Amino acid sequence: MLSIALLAVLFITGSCTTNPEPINFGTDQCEHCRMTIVDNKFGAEIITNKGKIFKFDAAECMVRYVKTGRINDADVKEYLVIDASKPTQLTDAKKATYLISENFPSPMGANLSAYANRSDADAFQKNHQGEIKSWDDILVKFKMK
Amino acid sequence: MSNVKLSKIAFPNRNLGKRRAWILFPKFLFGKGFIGLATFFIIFTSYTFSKDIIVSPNTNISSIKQAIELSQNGDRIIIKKGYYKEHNIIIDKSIQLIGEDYPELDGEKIDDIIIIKSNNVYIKGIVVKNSGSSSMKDIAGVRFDNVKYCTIEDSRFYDNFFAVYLAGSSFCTVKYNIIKSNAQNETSSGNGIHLWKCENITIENNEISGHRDGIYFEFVTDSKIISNISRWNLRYGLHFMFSNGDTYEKNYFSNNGAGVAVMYTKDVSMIDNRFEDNWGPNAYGLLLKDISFSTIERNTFKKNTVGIYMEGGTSLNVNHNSFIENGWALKVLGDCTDDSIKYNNFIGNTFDVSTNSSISVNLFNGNYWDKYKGYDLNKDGIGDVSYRPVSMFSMIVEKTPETIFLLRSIIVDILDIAEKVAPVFIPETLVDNNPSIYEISNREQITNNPTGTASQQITGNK
Repeated sequence: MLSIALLAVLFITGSCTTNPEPINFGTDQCEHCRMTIVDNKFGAEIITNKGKIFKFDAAECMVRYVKTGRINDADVKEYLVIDASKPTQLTDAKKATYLISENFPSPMGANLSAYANRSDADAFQKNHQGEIKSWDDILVKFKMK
Repeated sequence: MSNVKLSKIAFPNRNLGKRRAWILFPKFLFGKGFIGLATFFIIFTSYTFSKDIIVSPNTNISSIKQAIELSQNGDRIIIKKGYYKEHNIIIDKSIQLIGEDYPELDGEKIDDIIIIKSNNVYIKGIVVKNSGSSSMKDIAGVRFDNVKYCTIEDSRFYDNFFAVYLAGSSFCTVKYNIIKSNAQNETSSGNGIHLWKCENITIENNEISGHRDGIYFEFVTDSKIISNISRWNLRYGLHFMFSNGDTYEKNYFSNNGAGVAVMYTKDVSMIDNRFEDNWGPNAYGLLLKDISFSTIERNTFKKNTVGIYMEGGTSLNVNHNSFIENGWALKVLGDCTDDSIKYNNFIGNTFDVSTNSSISVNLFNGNYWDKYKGYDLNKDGIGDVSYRPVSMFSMIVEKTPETIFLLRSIIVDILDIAEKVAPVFIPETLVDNNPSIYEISNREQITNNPTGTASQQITGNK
């Protein structure tokens, strides 16, 4: 009886949770550049099909990590990025709007920030100038496509 | 007074009449007298036009902003001891700002305190405290905004978001400052000395503590970081990215949350530094990521979780360093190539070298390993048997970190014996063929442990 209960517990806890995991700023380490993630306007996360989670300190680090081939695009279930207008909140990277602006530098040198809503991106562009990009543009920029 | 001077220079020959002198004027202008005239003008401008403006509480000029408004290029503003509640002080003239007995500039946590927007500004002897903080804007105690030839020296910075912030500047100097903050968490704190897109900057003899990163370099070239103390910062003592051609030497980094990080850079010299007491799951004495053609020499790595963590390091010279009492002295990942690791001391480390690869294309030679158990029959100081610094257990730990709890257990000893009989794990090419029998004498920096202020540190280094 006990063993069945134990098995049940194992099943419940062991089953893959594929929900996004919030980034612990100041504690978590970037999978690509090994830095402690601190800037809560920036950050990214990959969830694999197996439920494994990789965290990054910037969207550019996530893209570069995939480019190194340590993870295959086919194994990725979800790409997430932090919405710069709503610090700490993760959003779907493929649907997000991006801004590349020298006046709003990101942690790893690409001056890249992400927004869930186009209107927020436009508002930031007004303040910081720069160019609005889509996920596909970003992949092209980092030579992923 | 000045008229007398003029006549002396203009009419050096007293026998000449006034009219004759006028005829001679062109000759005078281009001849010997020209130097005299030039000297005269230099004296004239510096003594007549530049003036001292004295700022003191309860006088006509009681604010620094007011003094700057009254000033012209070349003036000196003397700030008397006192308490000045000011922020957004914009220096848009080439002036000097000199504090007497450390006057206090309190920004009252509102915004930037001093913004330098002119070349040739010199600031000395002030206290800058309580800048504003923001999650969207990098607010600073003193901001160098696209300027050249500016200096801040012998000043104190307390509880600022960013203390000294240089953007787009060149040929500037930050020296002999004490920079302190008591940042509680990394997201709500800024860096001590922050440089972005700068060149030819000197950061010298500063003492930085309690910020997010002590010194931060991003896109900074041809600059020097010398004899600073950076400790008790939340994240990195020194954070260094995309910054080619820089040198940092004789610095002391200790007790920083994650040590020192040097990344995505080539041509860096790291010499005579000390990296101490950086403990934690993500803490490294020195974290190297994608570094090439650089030198790491005569440094001391003492009591760090990892002395040097090296990922993507190419053509690095890691020579004459001492690794003492670290968890891991060196972690060299498989993507490091053509690095030379020579004449270093490895003393009292739990693991000397660990790697995640079975192939090593790096050269280990002439190091002193305290775990070396070989002999030296011909007494030339070089062990007769090669030494493989990677232990089997460190390979297991690298693959499955949890196994670390087996450290110093009998199982590990048995596994080590088994590995000696039938080697499977240990990378064949990671070997020191000339291990030194004696400790190598690059230890002079270790005994001299600086504490105290920046000024004491300087004497300590001499």
